[in-house]
Amino acid sequence: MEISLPESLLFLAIDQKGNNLHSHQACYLYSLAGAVLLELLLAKRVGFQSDKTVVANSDVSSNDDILEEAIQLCTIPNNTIYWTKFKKMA
Amino acid sequence: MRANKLLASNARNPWVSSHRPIQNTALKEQIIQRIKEILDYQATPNPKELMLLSLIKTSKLTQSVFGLKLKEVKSTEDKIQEVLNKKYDYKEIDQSLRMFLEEDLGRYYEALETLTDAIGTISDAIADAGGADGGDGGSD
Repeated sequence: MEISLPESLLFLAIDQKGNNLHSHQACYLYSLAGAVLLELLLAKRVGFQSDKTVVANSDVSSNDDILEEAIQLCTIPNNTIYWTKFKKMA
Repeated sequence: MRANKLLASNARNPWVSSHRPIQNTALKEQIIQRIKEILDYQATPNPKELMLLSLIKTSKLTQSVFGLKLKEVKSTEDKIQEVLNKKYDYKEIDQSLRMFLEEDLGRYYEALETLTDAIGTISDAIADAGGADGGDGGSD
């Protein structure tokens, strides 16, 4: 089964019993959002301009609900800091 | 249950999801095993695995993922950084993405750590003040 970056991070972040996070929850606000952005980048769903503005590419689609939701948010060009800090997409 | 469904239900608020546990130990072990092989240079990471490594480091997950003692964390994080430095020439990884991973995200965590430390210090100070008040019977 091919799992996405945010999924992998989430698996690693949760303890063996599957109940609690290993690290402080605030650590994941940015990293999960970052993981979604990175996954979109790998799938060529977003690109970066020189000023780190995230530009969405809606020509292709995936079967991943999370990524699709995220790409809808990314239709407004903004930089990576904006998406990780304010949107907390994951 | 598909991992996507799990993510959808947990990723938004994973910290309040104790009633929706994620239990896929086999998959988790598979991911960890692969990461260990990469760090031991027994496997060549692909871009996604490199990104995961970077996210593990920046999310302060190194200790729990590898089951380390606190004093072992630094050397493992150094090892992760060594792999990242070596393999960051993947063409798929955009220059700005590198900046995002190494600078922006890092800066957030530094700020977060500073804030956490500050809260800890204030909390300790309040506890001390409370203890001192109790012990001294108040200084007013």
